[in-house]
Amino acid sequence: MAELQRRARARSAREVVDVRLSRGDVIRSAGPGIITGGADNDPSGITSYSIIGATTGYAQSWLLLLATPVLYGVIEMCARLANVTKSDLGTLLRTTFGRVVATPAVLLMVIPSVITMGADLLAMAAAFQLLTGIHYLYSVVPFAALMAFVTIFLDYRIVSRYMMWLVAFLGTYIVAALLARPDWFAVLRSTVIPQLSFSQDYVFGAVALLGTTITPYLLFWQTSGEAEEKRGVQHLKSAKVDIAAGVIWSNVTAFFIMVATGATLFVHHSHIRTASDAARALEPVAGHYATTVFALGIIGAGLLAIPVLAAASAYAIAGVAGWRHGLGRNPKNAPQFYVVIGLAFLVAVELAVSSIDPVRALFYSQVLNGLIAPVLIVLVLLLASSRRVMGDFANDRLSNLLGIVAALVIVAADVALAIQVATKGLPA
Amino acid sequence: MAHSDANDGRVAAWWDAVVAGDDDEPHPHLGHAVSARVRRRRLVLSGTVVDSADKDQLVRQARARTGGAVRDVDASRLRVAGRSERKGLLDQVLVAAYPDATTARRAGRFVIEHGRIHPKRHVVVEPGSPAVAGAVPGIYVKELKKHLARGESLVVLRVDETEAFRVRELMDEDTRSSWTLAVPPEPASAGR
Repeated sequence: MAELQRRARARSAREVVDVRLSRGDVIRSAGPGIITGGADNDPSGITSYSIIGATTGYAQSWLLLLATPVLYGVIEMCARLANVTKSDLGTLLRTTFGRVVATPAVLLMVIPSVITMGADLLAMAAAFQLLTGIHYLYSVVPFAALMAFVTIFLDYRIVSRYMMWLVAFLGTYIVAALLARPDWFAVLRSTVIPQLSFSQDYVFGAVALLGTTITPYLLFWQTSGEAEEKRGVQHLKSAKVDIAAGVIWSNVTAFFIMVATGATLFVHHSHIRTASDAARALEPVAGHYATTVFALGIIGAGLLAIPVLAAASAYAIAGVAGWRHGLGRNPKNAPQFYVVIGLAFLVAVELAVSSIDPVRALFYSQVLNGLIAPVLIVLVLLLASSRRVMGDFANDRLSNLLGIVAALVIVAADVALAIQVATKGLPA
Repeated sequence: MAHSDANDGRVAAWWDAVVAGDDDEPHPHLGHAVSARVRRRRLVLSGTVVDSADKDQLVRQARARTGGAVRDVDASRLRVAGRSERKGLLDQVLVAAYPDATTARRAGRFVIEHGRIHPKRHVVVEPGSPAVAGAVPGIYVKELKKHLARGESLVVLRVDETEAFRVRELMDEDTRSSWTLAVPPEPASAGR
């Protein structure tokens, strides 16, 4: 009662929502975040972290450590934006900056997201081939059809709550890393002391790591999710716990993927060229079943991530166009939104069956994300720091710092990559 | 809904259509948040309502339709949204632009009725009206005047912050406003 009276007397809106969370509230808020965080590592993320571990060992662990608070800062900004403006990012870009800015910004997210969908589909099909021996090209269309059906005709957000357990396999990377007996002192040193290198593997790996960690579609997905839940600014404090738990768990699993592959593949100078190469990092824990565990995990991660990529693209396009949108609406009520989802699946299938090397497709889609992310981060930063848009909920200094660091780190990696490509060309 | 549905012919017509097998139309007040369809002579209710009074009323109305083509009612998939947000703490002003005053008035009524909201303030600002100055805080007036100068009319609604998501969705998507502004939330006491 006293708490309610204090909130009623508060002078700023921020004071009104500044509630103290009980331990129970924290646990209730963190639980879904941990599950969602595990699901954030899609097949392209898992493959990228594996390739980075296999090619550079633990050398980029520090970048992952740096990316953790930075990712939290950016996602938290998005959640705050949605709850204050009561809108998703696509709509907000249109109503604040106009279509001239919003349309290219959205396309910058949609293009790599659809390419990532194609790469993820390819990864699922390749994983299915590992399990069954059926050529991957035959399973691309059935997988895409299944996911399109779930996204368009069922309530994906409810279905995904059950499917999230499919990515529990990521926990096996933690055990695999421990059993692989890495040099923990070297791991610790690489994590806390930045090791810079301008080798091609390192620079491409850095851009892919940043692109898959601070991935552009997450910005749109977070705002759309908040807009669909319609909980408002009173929910911001528990949203922060949820986001922090998700980001930490997501990056902890990414860290152990890199350690596991670093300790098994990097030390033996093995490279990842196929899905079964990537699965070898799980051999310390799964032995002969490493391939099976890896394949099931990739299929589970793909089932979770691909509908999200399609929906995030559709949310963004519908927001800019001013169409009705939302996975909570049925297809008859928001036809254009669902047509975009269907088109995203069609293009992704086309990309997946066009004879691209799956591992390269997964890795380079994340490099593309890394190139594009700074533009969107800057736009989010401009919105979230504006008192006109956010009022009492505008960014504080720490939020601004995290956003600026996010953009600068990715820009630095992108510049290094551009110099690499200009001087040495694309890697073989 | 509990008060307005009793004598609402549109709700009765919606139930008649559902029982007749035409279950595509949104509920007149709750929209697509709920759906009802007859499956093997069972009237199945699903979706999410904001409070248990709405759920009770829907179930009561459904049960009133049993007897002929409908044997019984299944409300196991009709959920009440678990909300912990408190009303009365924060207010939010939302503004939407429409091509003319008639459209703006209709849109305002639509938003209030379909959003099932109780606005603390509802104004339609037409081009040339002096009401624009008091409608929103000073820093937004210039932006509003820009739209009025184009001949557009504005709907300004001050609502409880917990209702603002519904209002913005209805303004942006269902009434297709050409522009929408959500002024950041402020303590409810500020608007008294």
